[in-house]
Amino acid sequence: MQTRLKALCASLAALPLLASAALPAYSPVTDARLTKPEAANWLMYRGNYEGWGYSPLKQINSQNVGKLVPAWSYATGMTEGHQAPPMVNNGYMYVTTPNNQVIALEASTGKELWRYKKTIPDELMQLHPTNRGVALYGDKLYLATTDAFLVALDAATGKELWKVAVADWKKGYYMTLAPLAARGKIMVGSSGGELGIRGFVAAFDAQTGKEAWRTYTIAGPGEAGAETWPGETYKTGGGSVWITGTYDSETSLAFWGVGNAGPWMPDTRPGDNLYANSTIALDVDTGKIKGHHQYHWNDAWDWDEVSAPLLIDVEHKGKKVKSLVHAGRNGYLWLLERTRDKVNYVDAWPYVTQNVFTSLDPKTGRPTYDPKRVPGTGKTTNFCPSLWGGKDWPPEAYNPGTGLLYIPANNNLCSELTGEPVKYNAGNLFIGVSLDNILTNVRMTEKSRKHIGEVQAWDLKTGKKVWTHTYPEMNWGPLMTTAGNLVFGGGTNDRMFRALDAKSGKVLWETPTPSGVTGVPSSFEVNGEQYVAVQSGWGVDAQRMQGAFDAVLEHKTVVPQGGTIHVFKLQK
Amino acid sequence: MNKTPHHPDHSHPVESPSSPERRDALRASSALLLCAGLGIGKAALAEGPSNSRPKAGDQLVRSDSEGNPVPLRSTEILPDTKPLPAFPLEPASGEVRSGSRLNKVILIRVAPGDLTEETRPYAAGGVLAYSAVCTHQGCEVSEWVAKDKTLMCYCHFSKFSPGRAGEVVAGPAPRTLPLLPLREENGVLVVAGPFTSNPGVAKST
Repeated sequence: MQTRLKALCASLAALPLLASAALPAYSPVTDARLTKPEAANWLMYRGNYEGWGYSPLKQINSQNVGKLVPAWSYATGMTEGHQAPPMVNNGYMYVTTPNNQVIALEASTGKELWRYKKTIPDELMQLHPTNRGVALYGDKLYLATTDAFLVALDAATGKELWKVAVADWKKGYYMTLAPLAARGKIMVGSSGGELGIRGFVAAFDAQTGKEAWRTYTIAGPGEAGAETWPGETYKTGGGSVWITGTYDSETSLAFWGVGNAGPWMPDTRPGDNLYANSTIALDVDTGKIKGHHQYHWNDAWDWDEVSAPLLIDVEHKGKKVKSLVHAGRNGYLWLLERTRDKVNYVDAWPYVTQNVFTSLDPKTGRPTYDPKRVPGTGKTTNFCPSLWGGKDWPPEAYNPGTGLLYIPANNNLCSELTGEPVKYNAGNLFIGVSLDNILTNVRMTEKSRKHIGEVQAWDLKTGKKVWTHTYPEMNWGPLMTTAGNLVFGGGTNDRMFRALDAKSGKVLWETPTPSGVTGVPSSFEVNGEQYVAVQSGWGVDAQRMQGAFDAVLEHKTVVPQGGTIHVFKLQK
Repeated sequence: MNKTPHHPDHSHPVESPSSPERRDALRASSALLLCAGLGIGKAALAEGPSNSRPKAGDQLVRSDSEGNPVPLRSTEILPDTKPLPAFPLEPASGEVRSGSRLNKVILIRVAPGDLTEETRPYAAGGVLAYSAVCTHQGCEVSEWVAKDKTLMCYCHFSKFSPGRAGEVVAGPAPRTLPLLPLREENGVLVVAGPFTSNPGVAKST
């Protein structure tokens, strides 16, 4: 008896301490599961490797979405930008918050299982206090932090297993993205494009945290593209990577978006500045760059192209294309082709007001610029779209059912920048435009006084816009679409979270949340019931744009801060 | 733009990793890092005059000064303009306390009529010294907003009133900006005591 009791105790002790009785044992996340994720789960940043932001669930649909009610909510206790999707693996939910925290919850009830808080250095400057989620892999989860650490936690208990320094936060490197997990590696990139970093994507062994490879996004001596950076400018050339890459499991290529070249004024670094403002295809095993496409050369507008392209098989002019689709911050919607060893230009067209590009090379897609619209040191330049672009980081979504691509856009908005000389000092801002100018950069037009924010739906087959839903002011809302013919998103300064009809764009349901919604929505199923989840928590760039609007508009808008996790389900 | 003088790299605290260029060295010591814990790093940070907090008797020098730093005089701080970023200087050793950005202050001239009773004792020759580090998320309070006479942090728009002891008047900052008391010696600004509260971000729990 006693021996059996001991054995029982031992087996109980081995169980995750806080797992509730209702929860099954944690199910490890494999490459196979990530390649073909179950409809019931949301295992990564965008739900699948292709970056679709799509849930195949349809219990909640355009017929009944009006009956969506709160299932539970949870106050994070944090302020600032809550952007991470609630990720779900068989009943376990993981949410990250600003200040590098991870909250594990029971997905159907909201009961807290554990909470992890990374200690932050006292001296750390958090330009973007936010986090966009974890990577789930094996029985671990991975967090990239604003002090540039990669942390591995036990997914069941929240116990810290290891942490590695990815870069030096004192030199302006910081991380806010959800890592990408594939083939035994955990991949991350670094923010700091305004602090004179040299961007990179780095991969770490999922088990040990040992660095496997590091590929700079800014070509240095001896690397292809080095000739596009004069002198030592590559050392501080920016090219930040702060949004999770997409991944093609057939070719083992990960596609990453690369931020703007730095500092902002293009005359400080004459040349194309590879691979800033590009997408790069990296071999996940070696980190080798297998292909790239630079959306625009010698950036002058702070148009980070950090959003990773979506992997979509489309029919273009009668030909099947394994494509990469990217709604650029530069205001053009890009259609590229991905092969095993190349990225080819296919087509592109403006999706918001754009007055900088005068033409695109029909073969390469390389734009020609209107010189009047290119900022420079010592001159003042007005250009559209604004420095936040036609679309900033909030991700597009693709629905294979409707065949439509959904874009959270900001249209009709322009910027005015005056370039000034700037000197590099490690850890300090390295921009070349005065802060005063940046804070008041927005220029309103007749049109933007009518509306700015949009949700656009594009038919990639025809290259035609099918519908547009407009908002009076900005849209900073990441989108999710579902097989229930729905598109979910927030992003407006009226604190609303909405469901739109995926075919028509009609608003079918909306609810005000405690703060503004800039979180990535997700959907999951537990015990046969579908849920929709999102974080409310206005902050960082959305608030910065609000500040710029407040500076130029007659009225001021207050969006209260404070994070909450919201989970909705159908009323019974 | 603020230019910090050369940082003497005395210590490698646990949470202060090497740069990517030095990652090999880091890899070699990563096991040690994992075991070391946070305590050692904090202790290391506190060593040496360049890292330790300002003390009474310190002078102040421009944060962008190069070569031989010259102590600032109150008359150099002009009214109604961007605050001047500065670091304390230990006169005995000649060391600038620029090892920690939490030592950085901003100097601002406030008209006598705009000073509250509470604030006046901290001023010298009409000049006040505030911590340059926003109490919200640690960004730099670098901007002067003339129309409401406030100091502003560009990161998240927190505004502080220099005449009202660094009171938060707008934005997400949770507490006042710490003051560094000043006095004057023959026109030279001298630190009169420690910060009124800890500079930097109040840790959320």
